[in-house]
Amino acid sequence: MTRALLRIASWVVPGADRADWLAEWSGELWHVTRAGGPAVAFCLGAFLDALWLRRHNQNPRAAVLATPARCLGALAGMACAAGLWIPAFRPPWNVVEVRSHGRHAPITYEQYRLIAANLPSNVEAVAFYRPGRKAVATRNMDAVLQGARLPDCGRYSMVDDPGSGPGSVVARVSRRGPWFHISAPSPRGGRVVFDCFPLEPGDRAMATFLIFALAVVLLPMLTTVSLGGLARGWRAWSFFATKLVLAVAGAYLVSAMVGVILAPMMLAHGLLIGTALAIRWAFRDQRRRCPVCLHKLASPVSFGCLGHTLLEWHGSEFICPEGHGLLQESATTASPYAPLRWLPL
Amino acid sequence: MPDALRLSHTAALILGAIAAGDGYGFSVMEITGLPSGTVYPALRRLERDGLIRSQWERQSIADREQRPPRKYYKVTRDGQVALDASRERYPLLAKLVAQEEA
Repeated sequence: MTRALLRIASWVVPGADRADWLAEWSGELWHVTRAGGPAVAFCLGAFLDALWLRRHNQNPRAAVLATPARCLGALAGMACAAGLWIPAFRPPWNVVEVRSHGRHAPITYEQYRLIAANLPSNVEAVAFYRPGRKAVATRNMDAVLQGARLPDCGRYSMVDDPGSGPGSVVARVSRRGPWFHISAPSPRGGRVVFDCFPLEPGDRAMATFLIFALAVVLLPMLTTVSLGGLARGWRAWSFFATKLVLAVAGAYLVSAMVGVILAPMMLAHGLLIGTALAIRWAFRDQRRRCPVCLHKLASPVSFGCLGHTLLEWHGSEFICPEGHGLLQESATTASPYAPLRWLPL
Repeated sequence: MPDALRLSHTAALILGAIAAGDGYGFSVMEITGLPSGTVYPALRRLERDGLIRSQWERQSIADREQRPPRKYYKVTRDGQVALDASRERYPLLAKLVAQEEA
């Protein structure tokens, strides 16, 4: 575990210093272990050391998002890459969920066996599963999904008999409309009717809009919804708008992909968090850009001391790498919506 | 006194431990009693400011003693000046390091 902690901390260290840093900490860990010291606490200190080296890196690489063109290019690349992966996680068109007719109630394993024994002509295969922490599914689930994922069940174990009790049924069909019925003979006589619904929700646009609207409502709790008076002219505003759209689209797609893989039941939460963080990042990034060339401001310097706020100015100063000016941000403004102070050089 | 020579108490303690002890990270921790998260970043800062310099010991020495090689830190001439100034500024520092070492 201690070796793993050091290895993880080494990722924070700049690449040029990493091997030397890891060798030193590994050697020191040997002494700590031999002396019977707290090895884990010792290794946790490695993270502080690694962070110090990262912050004071003498040869930093040019930031990926430094220039406006590279920023938009990186965001567009992220959105496109996530967009290309999404179809792999979307349920196929010919897999439907089977529910009790008119009641949207779960289906029991006995009902599933009834359907499986009397497959209609347009249903190729049918499988039963029970979502939850210990999700189980019948062994023919793979024949139905054929590599696709269930929307409300990440991993499941396959069993011969999931036991009695309610669950869900999915079916692979040869043709489908928006929804349709299938029926099976009832043990009491007559026929039992079931509704089939596509796994892919049809109202995705409305859900997306609601998530975006909720993220906007939450935004004032996450950051200052102000550009500090730094967005001047159509170029700055169009850059900000494009960045916002690309960041939200990328974060939405990445959140959807990660959510489907890791926690399908929490997909909506992940989409909301991802979208809110993307909007927050877009605002904060814009407040750290030169209003003239839109390059990312560099070389932050802190002035003053929190304990001396009545005696001297306390805040941070950033400089445009192209030399257009200085940005002064006070740490003690009366309002978070106060404009930032830009000093042209 | 120049700003470069004005060390914090912790930095002066670590510099004194390097001068008094074996001069590798764990020995500094043992002498000062400071945690690793304080000692190692301070060593980086002192080395960046030219008050100490680091050097890996030869692999053959480590092999002979059957342990991993150590990275030793030594106080530079500027570091010694800063340490002397700190001892004047923090009179108990010399006693503290000497006691810890003992």
